[in-house]
Amino acid sequence: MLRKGTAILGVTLSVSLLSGKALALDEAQTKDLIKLVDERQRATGDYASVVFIDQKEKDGSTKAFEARVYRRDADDKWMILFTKPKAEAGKGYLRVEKNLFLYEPALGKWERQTERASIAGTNSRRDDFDESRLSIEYEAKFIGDEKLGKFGVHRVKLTAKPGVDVASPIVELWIDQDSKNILKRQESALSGKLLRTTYYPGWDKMFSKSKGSDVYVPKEIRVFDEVEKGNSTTVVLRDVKLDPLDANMFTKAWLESQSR
Amino acid sequence: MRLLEMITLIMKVAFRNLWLYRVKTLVIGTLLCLGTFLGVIGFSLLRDVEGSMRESIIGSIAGHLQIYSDKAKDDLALFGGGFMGRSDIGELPDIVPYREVAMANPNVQAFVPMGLDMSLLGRGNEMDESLDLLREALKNQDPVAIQTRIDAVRFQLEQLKKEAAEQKKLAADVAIIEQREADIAKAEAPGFLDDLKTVDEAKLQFLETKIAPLSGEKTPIYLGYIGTDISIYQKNFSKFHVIEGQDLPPGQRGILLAHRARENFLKVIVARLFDRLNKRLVATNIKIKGDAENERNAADLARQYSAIISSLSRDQASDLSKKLTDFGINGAKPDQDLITHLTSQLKEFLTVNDENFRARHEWFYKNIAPLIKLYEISPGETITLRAYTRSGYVKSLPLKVYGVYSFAGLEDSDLAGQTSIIDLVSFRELYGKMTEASQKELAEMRAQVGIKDIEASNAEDALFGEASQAQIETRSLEAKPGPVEAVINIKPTIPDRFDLDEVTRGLALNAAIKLKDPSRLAQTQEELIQAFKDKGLGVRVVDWQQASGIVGQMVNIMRLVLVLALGVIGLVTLVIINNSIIVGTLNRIREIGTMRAIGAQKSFVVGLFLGETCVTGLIGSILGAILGAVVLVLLSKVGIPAVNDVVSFLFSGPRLYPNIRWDIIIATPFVITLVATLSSIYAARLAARVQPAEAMQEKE
Repeated sequence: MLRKGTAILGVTLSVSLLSGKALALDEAQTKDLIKLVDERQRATGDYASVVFIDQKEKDGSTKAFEARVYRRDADDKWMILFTKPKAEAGKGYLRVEKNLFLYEPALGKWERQTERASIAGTNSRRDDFDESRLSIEYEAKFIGDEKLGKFGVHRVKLTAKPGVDVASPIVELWIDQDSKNILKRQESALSGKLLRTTYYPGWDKMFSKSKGSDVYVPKEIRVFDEVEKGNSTTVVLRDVKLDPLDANMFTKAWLESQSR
Repeated sequence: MRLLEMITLIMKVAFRNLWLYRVKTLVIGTLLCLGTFLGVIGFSLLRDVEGSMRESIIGSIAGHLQIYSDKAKDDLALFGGGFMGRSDIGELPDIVPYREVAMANPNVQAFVPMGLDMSLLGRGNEMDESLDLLREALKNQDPVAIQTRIDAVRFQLEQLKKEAAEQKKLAADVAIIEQREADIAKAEAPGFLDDLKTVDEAKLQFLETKIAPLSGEKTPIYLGYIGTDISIYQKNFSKFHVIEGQDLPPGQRGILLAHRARENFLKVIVARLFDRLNKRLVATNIKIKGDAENERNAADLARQYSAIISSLSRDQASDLSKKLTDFGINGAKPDQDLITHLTSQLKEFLTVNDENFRARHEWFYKNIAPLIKLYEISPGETITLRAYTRSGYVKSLPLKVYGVYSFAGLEDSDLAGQTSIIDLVSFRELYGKMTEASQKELAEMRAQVGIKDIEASNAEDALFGEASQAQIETRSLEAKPGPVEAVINIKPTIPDRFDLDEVTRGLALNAAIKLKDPSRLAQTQEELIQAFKDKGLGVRVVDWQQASGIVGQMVNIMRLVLVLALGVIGLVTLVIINNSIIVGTLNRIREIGTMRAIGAQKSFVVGLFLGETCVTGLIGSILGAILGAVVLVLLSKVGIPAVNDVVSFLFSGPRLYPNIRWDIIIATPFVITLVATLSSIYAARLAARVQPAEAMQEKE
């Protein structure tokens, strides 16, 4: 027999899910939604994938990279290693806590950089490949329910919590009402000036042994620069792996060894 | 009366009147003397500055003419605006047709393709450098180097510990400082550093991520550079010369650092402050005391002790402390530990004043400079230039530093010495132009992934619209197991050579044109404008003065200021002359009337007054010209010091030695006398209207 509390919770959840499209979200529901977004993307163990970054500049020139991304959230470590094109192969970024190191294989040298530096000069930043921490870093406010193409979405505005160091102080999210996946994200400066718009046209969910539940991973990310209109970056993620990585991987020595 | 007799008479009367009305004469004479003096000095210097500036600009990077795209959004400004901000001067997509048109003109000697841009140089702090060296020593398994590097790190840890203790006294959040102290204590603990024999990633990562950031961050440096065909450039720009290292060989990728940029941004700050003070004290003889800039630099210098200590090993620090004691710098408490004692000694040594500066400057370069890395970058090293493409993306390229260059006579000019020189092929890469091979590789990569092109304007419709195939959520059965490998089968190398043919074609942003006969500059400019137009090549052809930006306009501004100053003096003089003649006329009505009654014609009266002005003008202005000439002779011996870097550029060196220009010295007094005399015609004619009868009625 169901306990009273569980039954009430079940009814509440059912009602809220059924009426999700019609009713606005209250403060607690909005908060929960953002927590859910974080939670679904959280991979408790290690993470590895192959990313393809394709960028177009407003003057018509183009650039593309293929890279491997590795993450170990438990130690707050993150790494990207470029494999293509030839001129960029072997370059890499290693982040350990607040330190971001860039490796220049032709020189065999490392350089400590600011954490917010863009990745290899693309429109993508390290947080594009990083763990989602929206509920920790931002206060969420429900704006309204809208249509994004043929999809019904919740529009939520996130404002950075005081004292938290984030790349964008204001973020707006358009979250699919059915799947609860982010479809669109806009980042703005404190002044309100729009900086970039990002679309997530597809998500892959896969079962993670270490987490004991599904992990949601974007298959494709489209980033449009709103400051330099005409600049855009597309990130395609492939070969996502959630198995434990080698213990010594997140080191300078490992990254250096990959281009020898 | 014959003309000669009349002139003689007029002159006699004029001289008598000049003495009679000597106060008026003195005022007018002095003003004309001053005007002539300023005119002689001003126009002589202006011509000298114009000449030296032309030499600076044409001989360094501008050439006689410059061409750039007519689609440019900004004007070409080789010396202004181009350094701190990036101007959009468009591009010349392929230099071949432009060169062909230019070289077809018989007066064109050379066509030098160019491109101006800037890059960012990232820099670690002293601890980052020490840890890099330690890692290198551990990799090479060199026991001596390992021990030396460990000692250096230990010494820096000691300094960080002392700094943390100082910060703790002032910090609001003590917990942060205590965490730092704990990290330092861990690194100093027995068994941490002394057990390092091979690369221990855990320990090194701890030092690199927890300890290195404690040494502070250096601000990034923006390095302006010009990409060019270096062999053609060297042949045609006479002022260019390499002062350290070697020339950039043809066909070789690399960079020649600009001397002043290296001195200003890549030299250790303590040496820079010594240099700045020395320059002002020696070159311009400005004392420290009483001069705001010198006092500020001296105060900054006194704070640079930690930068010196952090770059020393323990032995070097101990040795330096002894030498300072021998020099008479004992510090506050000689019985304290080495770092505390050396800190107080250096604080005392770096506290300079007008009396001790020269000796300490000399001592610094003799005893301290050899112990520290004076420049962050030196010839033989390789640096990574990181440039922003037009759209804001970053492109990085490692380049070998071949040498340091300067422009002859402009070694101390910041304005002329900020732009480093790189080969044109590397410039194009940093600018964002892809080679054919790179474009092919990119197309293959893109085809492999199969990405659809979507524009920002219709992204939502394309990705999520009714017609889209969007499948927001799909399931992979499980994350794929298997090893993660990313071994790259390419050994990255620093590009070092290029085919010489590559610089004779392809992109440039602008081009300098050197002429065989510079006196036909304007004519050649017109001919080239027409020739480019005839071939359908949209370019702007500008002369060196226009191409140099605000600097080139400085002479025009100076000329304007001089002419305005002379104009104001002239106007005041003319008003005074006219007023004094009118007042003189009123005072001398009886005299004029008498002269007219005894038969003097109106023309005689007019002549008399003009004669007086002419004589006053001649005496005053010749005196002014003589004074001007004397001052010019003196200045030509001692020179005029360039008080700042802009002036140094205008002077084409640290001092301007003016030429004695006899044409100006001779012509100026005559021009001034003529103008003064002519301007007194109106007043003289007023005087001539006095009727004899009217004059006779006047009371004394």
